[in-house]
Amino acid sequence: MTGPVTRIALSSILVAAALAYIGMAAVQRANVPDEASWEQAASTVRAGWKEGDLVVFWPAWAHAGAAGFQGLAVDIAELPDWYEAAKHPRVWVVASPSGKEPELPGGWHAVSRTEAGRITVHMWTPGELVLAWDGLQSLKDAKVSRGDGEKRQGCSTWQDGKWHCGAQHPWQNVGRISRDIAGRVRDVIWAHARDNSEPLEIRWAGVSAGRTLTVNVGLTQRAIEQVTGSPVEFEVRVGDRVEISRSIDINEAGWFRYDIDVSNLGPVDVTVRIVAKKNQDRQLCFTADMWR
Amino acid sequence: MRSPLTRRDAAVGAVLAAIHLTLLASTLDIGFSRDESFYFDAAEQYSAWYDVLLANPGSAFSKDSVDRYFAYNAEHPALPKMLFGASWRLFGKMHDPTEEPFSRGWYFQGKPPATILGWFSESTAMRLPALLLASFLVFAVYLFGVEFLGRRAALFAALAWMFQPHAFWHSHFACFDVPVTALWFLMAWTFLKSMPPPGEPRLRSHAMWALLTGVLMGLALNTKHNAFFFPPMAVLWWVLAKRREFGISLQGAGLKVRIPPIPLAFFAMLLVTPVVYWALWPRLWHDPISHLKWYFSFHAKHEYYWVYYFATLYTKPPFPLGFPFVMSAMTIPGTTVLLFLAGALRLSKEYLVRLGARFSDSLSTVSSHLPSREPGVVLFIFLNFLVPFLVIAHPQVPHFGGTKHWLHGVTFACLMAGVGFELLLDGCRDLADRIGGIFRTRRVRIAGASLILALFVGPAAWDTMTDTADGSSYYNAFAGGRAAMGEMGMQREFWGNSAFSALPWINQNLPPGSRVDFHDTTWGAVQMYRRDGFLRRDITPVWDYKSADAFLFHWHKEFTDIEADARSFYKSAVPGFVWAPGGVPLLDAWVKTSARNLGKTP
Repeated sequence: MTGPVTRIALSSILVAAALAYIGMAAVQRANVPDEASWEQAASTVRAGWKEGDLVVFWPAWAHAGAAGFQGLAVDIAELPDWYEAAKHPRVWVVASPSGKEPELPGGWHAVSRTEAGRITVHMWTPGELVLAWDGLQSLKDAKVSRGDGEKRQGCSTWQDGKWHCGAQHPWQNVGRISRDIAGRVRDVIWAHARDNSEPLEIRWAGVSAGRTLTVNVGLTQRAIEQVTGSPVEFEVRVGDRVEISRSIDINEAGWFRYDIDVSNLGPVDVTVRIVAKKNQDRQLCFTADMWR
Repeated sequence: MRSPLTRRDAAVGAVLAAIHLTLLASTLDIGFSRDESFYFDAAEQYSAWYDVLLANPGSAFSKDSVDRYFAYNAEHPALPKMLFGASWRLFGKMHDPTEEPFSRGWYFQGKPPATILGWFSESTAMRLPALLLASFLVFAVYLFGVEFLGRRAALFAALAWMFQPHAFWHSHFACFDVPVTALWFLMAWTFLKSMPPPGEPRLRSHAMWALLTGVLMGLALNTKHNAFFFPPMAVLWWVLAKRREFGISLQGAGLKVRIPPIPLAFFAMLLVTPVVYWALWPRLWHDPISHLKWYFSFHAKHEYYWVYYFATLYTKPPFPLGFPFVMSAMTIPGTTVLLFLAGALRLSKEYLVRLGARFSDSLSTVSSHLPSREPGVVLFIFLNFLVPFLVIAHPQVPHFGGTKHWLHGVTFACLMAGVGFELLLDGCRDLADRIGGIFRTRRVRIAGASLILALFVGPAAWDTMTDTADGSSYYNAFAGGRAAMGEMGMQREFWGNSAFSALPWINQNLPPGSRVDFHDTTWGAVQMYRRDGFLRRDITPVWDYKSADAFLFHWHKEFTDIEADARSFYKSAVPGFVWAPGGVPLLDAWVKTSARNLGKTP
C-alpha cells in the first residue's frame, strides 16, 4: 500500500515543507526591525513633525520601537482606528515588517514614503472632512441629567473631567476614559447606564454646524464578558428628531458607527439618552463628532 | 517488537540527557514565573522542616510541625517543593546577614540559613531538581523509543522533545509541569515494561517493573494532580488492547467470564501508590481524608484564568475545544509538527492495514511488510498523547497556563514524530535505491540521514535556543512566527516573567529609590530577583501604578484597560521601554513624568 513511490513522494513533500519552513522563518526574522531601523524611523518622523500630527504603527500592534517617539502624539493600541486618526491633519504611519505595505484607508492621501532600514515611514493625510466639533473634548459643555419629567435631576458636579449626579461616584458618572472596546483601547465618553430604566441624558446645545454627525457606541470589553444587567437602549436626537435608536445586547461586542446627515441644519442640539432595566456592568461608552 | 536495550543505547540516551542539561544550564537567565515564585516561597518554608528533622526527629512528624512548615501552598503536593528546598539548602549561595543586614527581610525565618556548599545562586539551586528530572526525561524518551519504536524514531523523538521552545522554557522552572511530565513518562514506560509481550510468560522482572510503576505513580501524584488521569487511561488501554481476550460464554447452567491477565501494575497502583502518596505528603500524615477533600474541591472549582485566542478573550466556559491541539500546532516547531503528522499518518495506515488484513488476502500481504510492532504499543502511545490533550480540551476545564498543562502528552507526540522521521528516512532510502550508484553506499546514506536529521532538528534547535527567556511567547513560522501574537490576536505572555527582561533597563535608568509597579510579577519573584542580584536593592516594588515611578505593563489582553489608566495617569503617550522579542511587545514600561530622569545610573 505504501510502496516506494508513495514513500518517496511523501518524503519529498516533507523535505519541501521543511525547506519552506526554514525559508519562512528566515524571512520572518529578517523582517523584524532592528534598533537602527527604529532610530532612523523616529528621526524621519521628528524631522517632518508638525503640531497636531499623529504617529501610528502598522501593524498597529508593532510598537516595539515606540520609546523612540517620546514627546510625540502616538497611538499604540492593538488595532488601527483610522476614524480617530482622521481627527489629525497628518498621520505618520511607521510600518514594519518591511515588504508589507500599509493599506491606505479610503479617501486618504499618501503624501510621502521614506525607507528607514527595515521600516517604511509613510505620511498620510485624511480625507476632505474636517472635524468641527468633538463631543469628548466638549464634554464640559454638556448638560448631563438623570430621570425624566419632574424626576429629572441635573448632574452638575464636574470633577476630574467627569459629570456626577450629586456626590462623586466611581462609575455612575459621565466622563472621559480610555477603555478596551471592540478589540482596542479607545478614548471615549463613559456613560454607565443607570438602574431601573432611569434615563441618563447628555445634551450639547448649539453644536457647530457641519455636514455629518458621527456617533460611535459600544459596550466595554469588561461589560460584554459578563452575563449581568439587561440590554441598553441607546438613542441620539438631533434637535427633536430621533436619529439613532438602538438596543445593545449584554454580550454584544462592537464599536458601532452611525453617520447622520446634518448638512444645511446649522448649529444643532445633540442629545444622547441611555436606558437600561438592569444596569449591572452596563458600561456603555460613545463618542460624537461633527464633521464639516 | 520490543528491542532489548544495550549499553550503547544507554550511552546515547545519557549523552542526549547531558546535552540537554548543558543547554538548560547555559540558559538559566529566564525570569521567574508567577507560580515558580510561590514554589520558591514554599520550598524555603518547607526546608525549615529539615532543621527540625535533624534536631528533633520525633517532633518533626507531629501535627504541629506539619501545620507550621507545610501550611503554605497546600493545594499542591509537597514533594517537588521539598526537593527544591533541599537543593536550595545544600547548593544555594545564601546572603550573609552580617555583611548584608538588609537581606534578613528577604527570608522566611527572618534570616538566611547558613550556606552549605554554595555552588549555585539561590534560584538555580531551587531549580536544580527540576533541571535534572527534565534531562532524565530526554534519556527516558530515547530509551522508550529504542525499545518500542526503533533507534531512528527514538533519536528524533528525544531531539524533538529537547528542542521545543515552550517545553524548554518550562524545563527551567522550579515548578511541577515538566517534573510531572517526566514522571508520567517514566510511569508509562515502566507500566509497559511490566506487561509481558504477547505470548510470553510473566517473569519476575515484570513484577519488579509493576512495583516500580506503583512507586512512580505515587511520585507522580506527589508532584501534580495530572497523574490521576493515568490509571483510567491505562485501564482503557488494557481493555482496548486486550479486547479479544475478554469474553462471556454459556457453560452449563452458568456464565463463564473470560478476562485476560490483569496487569500487575494495577495492583501496585492500588497497594503501593497510596502508601507512597501518603508517606511523601506531610499534609496527609495526620488528617488525610479532610485534606484530600479540600484538595480535590480546590481543583474541581479552580478559578478561570483568561485566555486570548484568535482575537477573542475567553473569560469563562465554554472554552474552545480545539485549544490544546491548535496551540500545540502553533507553538511546537513546524518541522516537528510536520513529522508528527507524517507519523500519525503512518501509524493510522498501519492500523487500518492490519485491521483489513483480517478480511482481505491482499491486505494481509501488505500487512506482512509493515514494521514489526508489539501489539498494543502504538495504541498506548496514542492514548498517552491524546488523553492529556483531551482533558484540557474539555470546554469546562480552565485553559490557563498556555501550553504547559498537556506537556505530558507532547512527549508521546514526539514519539509519533519519531515514526514520521522513520517514514521520511525510508522514503529517502527508496529514492537513493532508485538513483543507485554512490547513493547506495553506506557512507553516503549516513551522510544523507544526518542531513535530513539536521534539516528537521536544526530549525527546532534554532527556535529553541533563541529568545530563550521568552520561550512561552514562541509561535512557529507556519503560524507566522512570534508575529502571530499580534496578527492573530493570541496570548503573548502567561506568567509575569517578562519583567525579567526589563530589569537591566530599570537598573540602568531609574533614579535611586524609585518605586516600581511590577504588575503581573509577584512579590516572591521580585524578592528572588533581588536575592540573586538581578535587581537593584534600592528599587521598591509596589503594586499600584499611582504610587509608583514606573509601571511594568505585561501585555495581556485582559489588562489593557489598566495600561490605558496608567498612561493617562502618567500623562504619557509612549512607554519608556518596550520588550518585544520578534517585534511583538510583551512588556511596556511606563514612567511617571517626574521620574523621567532616564540615563542617570545611580
